[in-house]
Amino acid sequence: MADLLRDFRILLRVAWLTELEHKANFFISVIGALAFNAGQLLFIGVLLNAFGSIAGWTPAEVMVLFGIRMASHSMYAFFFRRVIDVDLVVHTGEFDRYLLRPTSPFLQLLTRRFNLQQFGDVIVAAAILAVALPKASITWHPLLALWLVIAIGAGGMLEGALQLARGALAFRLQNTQSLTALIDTVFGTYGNFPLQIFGTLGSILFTVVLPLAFVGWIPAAIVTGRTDSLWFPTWLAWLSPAVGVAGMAAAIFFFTRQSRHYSSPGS
Amino acid sequence: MIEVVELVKEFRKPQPTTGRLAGVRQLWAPRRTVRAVDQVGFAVERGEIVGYLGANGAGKSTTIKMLTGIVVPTSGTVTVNGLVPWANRKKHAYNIGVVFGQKTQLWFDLPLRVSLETIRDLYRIGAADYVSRIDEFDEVLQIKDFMDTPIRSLSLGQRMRGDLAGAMLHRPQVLYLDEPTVGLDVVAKQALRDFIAEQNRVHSTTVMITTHDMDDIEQLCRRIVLIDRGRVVYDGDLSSLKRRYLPFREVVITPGANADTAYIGAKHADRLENADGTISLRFDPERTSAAAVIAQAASTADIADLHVNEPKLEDVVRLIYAEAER
Repeated sequence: MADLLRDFRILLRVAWLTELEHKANFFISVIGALAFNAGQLLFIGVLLNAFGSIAGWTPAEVMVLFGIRMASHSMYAFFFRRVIDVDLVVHTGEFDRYLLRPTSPFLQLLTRRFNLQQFGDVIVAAAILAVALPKASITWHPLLALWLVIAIGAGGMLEGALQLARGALAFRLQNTQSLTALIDTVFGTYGNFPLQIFGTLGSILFTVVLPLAFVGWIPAAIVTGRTDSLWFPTWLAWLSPAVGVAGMAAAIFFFTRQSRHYSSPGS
Repeated sequence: MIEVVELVKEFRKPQPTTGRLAGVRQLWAPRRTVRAVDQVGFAVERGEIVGYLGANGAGKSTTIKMLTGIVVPTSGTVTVNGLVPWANRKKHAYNIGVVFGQKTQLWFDLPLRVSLETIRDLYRIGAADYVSRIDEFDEVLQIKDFMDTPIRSLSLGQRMRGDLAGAMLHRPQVLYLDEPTVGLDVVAKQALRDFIAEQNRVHSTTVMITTHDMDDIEQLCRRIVLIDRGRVVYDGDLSSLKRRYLPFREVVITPGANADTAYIGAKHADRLENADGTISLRFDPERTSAAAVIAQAASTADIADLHVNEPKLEDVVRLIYAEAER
């Protein structure tokens, strides 16, 4: 583990130096992320202004949900965003290098670039939560705050796990990019709403099949005390962060197994 | 050092899908099986330099990729210094250095210095060792001239020298080179060969090299493994390979200005008249000697010039490939 952390630091330095080679990228990335998220926020703002509340949740509660989803996403973007590059790394043969070096190929994948856009996501998520949390009438307790932090981290892991599992398919299949966009779109579009608006069937679907309930809806319901909207018992909701952690562990295992099918392009 | 037994690699390639939801439909696209390496076996001792030869698509690179642990074999076994490459990946990484002529193992956007420092840190190479090895490498490879240039801005020759330094920095016991001299100029090729030969001599580094450059082989390798369509067709030393595929040697005679050449033609030698007026006498060295052929020619006609053609590996390989095509 100490070895892995040391390798992480070594690889992070290279990634950071690579990013500095393209300085203009930094500002464009941050501005891009801010603009994209502001657009989403505006859309929800319009919805809330038009209808007042969404499926029984007050505007402040929906904002908390949106903030948590953004925070989860920024955790994903911060630590795991490079998992979307598996296709590229496999098809260009960059993965050869990861297998030849005496450290984890997964770690080398995560640090192949230092994703600057993540700063934009973090800023937006922090800003939204700073505005929304005080407005929603939340009964704070230190354990609840701690749970929220864990849930946000686990949400990021879950999104990373899905993208990693998708990426791992690239070892055997040629074109899996459309699935990346699918996961991004589903999380980015539906993840921002209290899922009960999709009906019981819809909310079950978004919990079990496409598990985006874990990155926003469930944590927001716990924090704002709106567990009445969930379709399963509250005690189960408290355990929900386990899904993200287990999901990531399973995805890394799957990735490692699939990497044995790596065929390395060219001569 | 390297043990390969009945090594097989089959690739199952999906037929590409296009159009709507291609990524999803790909999941059940039909597949076909291609056998790239077929029952390959050989053993390499410590300190050997082995040329691994074959035409394009013969299975050379796939074998090297299995030996390095990049590709997992379909069946058969590989052990390198007692380790199974793909199963003991991390430990094995310390034992091997790899240079692919086609793609760099270094960090493309960053100066060579950063790549080498990163390799130093990842392999836990001490500061003093690092400095002395860079000095040692620089003597032959002259890498200090471009240490601060990003890899992407290096010439191919410089990049290959940088890659070689990167591959040998942790002083591996085995060095794999996959077409290391392709596209290089004569000077750069020579620097690479000198470096490889020196590492082999000084540190007993085991070297396995694939190349289409016959000078690489003639200068570096005492032993050759030839592969064709995934199978080993020859494994032995260079001179026996030449003997087996080119059993004939040739004396080429340029007759004097008004010489009567009618009687030139020794016993056990085939006579060929070349378009440029010279006469080739092809003979089997097992049955007669160059001296006998030359003496006979000199005694029957006035000779202006003559030379003996040694068999070239290039001709051997051309012959074998042509045989394979048929």
